[in-house]
Amino acid sequence: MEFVTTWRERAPKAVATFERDFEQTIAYYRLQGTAREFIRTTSLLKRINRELRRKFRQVCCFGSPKGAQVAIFLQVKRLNAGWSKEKQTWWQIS
Amino acid sequence: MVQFDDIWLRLQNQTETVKPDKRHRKRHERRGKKVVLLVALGFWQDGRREIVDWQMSDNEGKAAWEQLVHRLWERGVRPENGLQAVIRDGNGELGEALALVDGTSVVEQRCIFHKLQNVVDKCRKDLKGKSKKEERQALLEQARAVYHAQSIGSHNSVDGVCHYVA
Repeated sequence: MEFVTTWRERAPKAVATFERDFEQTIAYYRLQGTAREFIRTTSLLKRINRELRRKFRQVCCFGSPKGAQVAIFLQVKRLNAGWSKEKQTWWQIS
Repeated sequence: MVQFDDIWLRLQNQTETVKPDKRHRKRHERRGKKVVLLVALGFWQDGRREIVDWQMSDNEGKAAWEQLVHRLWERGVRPENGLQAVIRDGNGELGEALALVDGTSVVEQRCIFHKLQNVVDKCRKDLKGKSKKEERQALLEQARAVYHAQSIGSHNSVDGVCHYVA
């Protein structure tokens, strides 16, 4: 592969990282029917994490594990309601 | 399809020791720590998506991931029920947990973004200094181009891709 041969001497570590599990990084070609942009990165989930982190930043430090679970549950419920196809009332998605 | 990732948050916990506070009331001592939240997002080909499950744990260890993956498996996230792929970052312990529960029947996709990020990190060490900034950028662009070129070159066959790589 061209990329590997050009850079192996100048940046061996970077190329090694690139080659490690290379088969798994191109596994998305085996799947048909979905947009490739969705299945080759975890960016959909990163978006969710951002939403969760928004809550964590407000709270700063959770007082107890139970409280944290509740906050996460509420946030997750809100997000799931926003994505569902059924019609939702405004208080379910905000 | 299921995506896995984690996020860190801070948490306070009550400890057993009792200490008097400023006004001499007896209060449990509190101690803060960081915990990790492991999230699993499921999405379908028709565009539906949902946060399927999550799990709080002290570390990103294998045990925690295994708990989450196993729970999902029991709820029916299996290849025979239509699980097509698992998308994850480069966390090796998650890979082990997945291999233990699901076996090798599921397509595993490593997140390209994470991979390229790691490549950039490593290339910072290889090509140090301001003078080599352009070289670093060139490397990153070419690494990106690899994925892009393949998506144009061979659309429908894995064999084609493997051939190209070889």
